[in-house]
Amino acid sequence: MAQVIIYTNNNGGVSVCIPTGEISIEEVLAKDCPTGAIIVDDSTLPKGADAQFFDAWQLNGSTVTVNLEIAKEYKLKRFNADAIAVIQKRQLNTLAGISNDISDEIFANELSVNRTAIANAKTTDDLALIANPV
Amino acid sequence: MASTTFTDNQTVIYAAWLNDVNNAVYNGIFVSPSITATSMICNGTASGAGFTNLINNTFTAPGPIGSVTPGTGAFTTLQATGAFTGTTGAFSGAISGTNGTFSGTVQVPTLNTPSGVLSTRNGITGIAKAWVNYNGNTNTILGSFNVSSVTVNATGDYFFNFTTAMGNTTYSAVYAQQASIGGAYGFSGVTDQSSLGVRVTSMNNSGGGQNSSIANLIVMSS
Repeated sequence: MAQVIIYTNNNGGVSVCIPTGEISIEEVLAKDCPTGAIIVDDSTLPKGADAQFFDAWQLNGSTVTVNLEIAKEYKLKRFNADAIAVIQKRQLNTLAGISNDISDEIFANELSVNRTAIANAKTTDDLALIANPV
Repeated sequence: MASTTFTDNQTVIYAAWLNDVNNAVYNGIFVSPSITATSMICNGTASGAGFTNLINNTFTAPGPIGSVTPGTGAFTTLQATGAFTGTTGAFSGAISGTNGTFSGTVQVPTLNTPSGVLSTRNGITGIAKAWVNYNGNTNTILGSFNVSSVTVNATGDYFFNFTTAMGNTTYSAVYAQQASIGGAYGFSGVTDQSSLGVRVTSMNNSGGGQNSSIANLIVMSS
């Protein structure tokens, strides 16, 4: 069972320190990690959709959980960034006389629906199912 | 305190001319600053301007330098401001000097300078002082040298910790992560470097942090 070191970082999130094996994990703990860091089996870390939202991880004792509200913030931030990139591409297509695959009205409606879905998500599985604009 | 004089090309059996075999201070007088010995055997510990601490002497040993048997050389400390030339040697402690020539094989578990990993020109130059191949999707180290761990602080935001600290911060660090993920091109690079390690970041084409299965760091230094 592989082991890693975890601790709460300065941003309030979780840092995961993975030893390379050049020195023991106890030496890595002492040398590379702050006071309070702990060694855990990596099997105890969040998996599946929870693993996709690493930036929303929080450490409670020796257990890592996912803060759904923070996960929503990150999801929306990424969603909007991708939406802006797609909007720019659509505008360039219009200037170049190239038809977009769907109308502006339909595209805007899809954005609105998905933003609502992000806000209403109950789990990280729900968030993971919402596709970002492409 | 023992004192003796001997001449070049003489076979010297340490135990034979010092009563205190295992712990003695040798202040022997060399005929010249340079000594050539066919066979030199030391059964104990010696210090001074002798043969376990060679200071300001050129020491040439065409034969083996032995502690117990002539076939094995053993030194705790070897210092020479001149040249050291030998064919076989085992060193349990430090070796320091300005010149050294070994016609045989030098085997050491770690090759360091006092200030870091080959940080000055006394070591091999032109090779990586640290490298790592990391899979950021599975948190797997695929290979490394002089990297003790990878700390993931956020998506695409890693700190690579050196096993042995660099002697300076003027080294060259190059980081590259998989350029295209799902057809979208992002960017990656070094954001900070210290004697303890290198911080890197990778972002996708919309500016968000991005992990990938291919993340490589190489550190070069003199």
